[in-house]
Amino acid sequence: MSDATPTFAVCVKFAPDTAQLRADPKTRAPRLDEAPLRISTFDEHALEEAVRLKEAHGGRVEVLSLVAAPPPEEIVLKLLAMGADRVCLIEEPSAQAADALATARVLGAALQKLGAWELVLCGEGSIDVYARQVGPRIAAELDIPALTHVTRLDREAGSFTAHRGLEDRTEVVACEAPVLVAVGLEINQPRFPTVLQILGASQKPTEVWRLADLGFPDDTSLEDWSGVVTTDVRAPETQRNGLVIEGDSATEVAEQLACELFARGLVKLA
Amino acid sequence: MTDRGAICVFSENREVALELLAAGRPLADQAQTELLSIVMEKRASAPTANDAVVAERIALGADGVLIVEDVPDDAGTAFDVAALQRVVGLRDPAALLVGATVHGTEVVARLAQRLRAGCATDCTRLTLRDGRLEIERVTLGRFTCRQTFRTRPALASVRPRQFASPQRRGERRGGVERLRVDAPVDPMRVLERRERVASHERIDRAACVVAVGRGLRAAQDLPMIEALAQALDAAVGASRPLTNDLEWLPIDAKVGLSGTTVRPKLYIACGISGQIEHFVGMRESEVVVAINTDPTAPIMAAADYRVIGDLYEVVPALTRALQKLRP
Repeated sequence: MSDATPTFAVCVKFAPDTAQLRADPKTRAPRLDEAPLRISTFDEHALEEAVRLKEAHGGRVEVLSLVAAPPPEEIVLKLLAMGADRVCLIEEPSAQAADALATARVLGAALQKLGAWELVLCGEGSIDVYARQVGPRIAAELDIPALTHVTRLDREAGSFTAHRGLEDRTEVVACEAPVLVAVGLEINQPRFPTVLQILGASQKPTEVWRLADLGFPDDTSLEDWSGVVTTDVRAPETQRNGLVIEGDSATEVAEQLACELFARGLVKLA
Repeated sequence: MTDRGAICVFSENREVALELLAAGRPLADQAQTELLSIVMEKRASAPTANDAVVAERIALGADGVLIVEDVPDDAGTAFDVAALQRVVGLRDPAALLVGATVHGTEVVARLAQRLRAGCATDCTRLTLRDGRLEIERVTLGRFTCRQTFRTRPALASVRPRQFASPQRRGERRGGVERLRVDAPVDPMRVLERRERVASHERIDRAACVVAVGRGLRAAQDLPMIEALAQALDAAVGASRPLTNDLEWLPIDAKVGLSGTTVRPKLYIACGISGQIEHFVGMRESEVVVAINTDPTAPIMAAADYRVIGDLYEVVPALTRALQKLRP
């Protein structure tokens, strides 16, 4: 798998920006239609790592994403401007109801269609669901090893060395390609594309694949493939007040806050 | 009983394995089925130590212990996946609960894909509804979702410290079953392991936690945070970048999904943006204060009191204000 021009594949998710997500005041359901989509933060770090590998070793960066509908053009352009050579969107309306099992089956098949890559990169989890499943599941689907929670990655002649952050220890592990690596936010600082890179991005190819292009039957429903059903999503009942403490100076603000905390019995007078 | 399908639990971490017994026991009682604890027994481990493990699991709620024996000492993810797949094949459990450690999360996800099964990670609540497992987990930053399973077994990972360690349940009996699993080829080699420095402060037991995040510009500014903590009799916590990336604080100070869950009376988040990773670890705090320069930071939505300002100004001012309150 260590050919002269390695291919680095990156799986990304376009997720609702949870920072801009509000709950419906009556039903407490998330108002997903109001939250703009963005590239899941962890996946931006995965792409950045792939582009750095390409800059150091040559090769290509291919980005794959499963989407229910065509994503906003600007976020696809951002992927290309950051250094992806091509973006392949697998478009399937039922992806809206796909769980990690169905998603990994589709991405696994898409990676097989892509052909000879030596590394699959993805974020350790997504900003919206953060289930941390799709990465290891893709690896299981393709029967390749997975390295998760990776904070540093080095490549040498088709072999990878990774630093991993676990609860109580760090590990350095080595693995031959092909391998899947799920990265943490610590691994790098994603670049901001320059104007030139943004302009260049529109010259790069974007492809749209359907499930039929991956060899799946036309009537496939990813909802039917899913093993988990989400029955309810709601903001917690005890909504926080979110009282803004204001004042002319930091001292004034601090004194107000201290009084509030004292009044609620949260400050002990020793 | 077995026709109903047992509830199996597994964690490579002893404390978490015991918490899983606390999580699984009421489900097993309600479903009138067995609760089985899965133990990976390393080749090098002493037989007397193994007997103690079995006795502990039974005393703390297991109806039986499934021992995977003769586990190679360097066994990793691939082995645990193969072993659990074997257990599922042999016992056809209704549910398999795994501790949501980094290792456990990866193992259960890989296992789930092999079994073509659904899986719910980082569950905060487990219930039976019409005899079927239903879980709750945090999603979309601060929302809670409920999920059910269309596949068997129901695979779920449970957050460490979400459930209290179980109590001894009087005189209990239970069976032991042993099995062997052929070690699969694992192409991963561990070159180096480094334990992280741990502190002795238990942030999960503190009545007040002052937590700090990326808003802190340098490790030498930590005394400012510690001074506030001292004024409040608080423990110092941190978000992930400070414990994992920068290593300014010990790893057990980390509040969040991959760290500790805290439920203090007062939680003060200083310069923490409040991504889902962090939010899950502090959302059950009684009163939350957020100090951040960015009014749109997600932590603001999780706060009872919002202070929009620079922690370098607000934190020392708050410390002084609190000191004034004290005689």
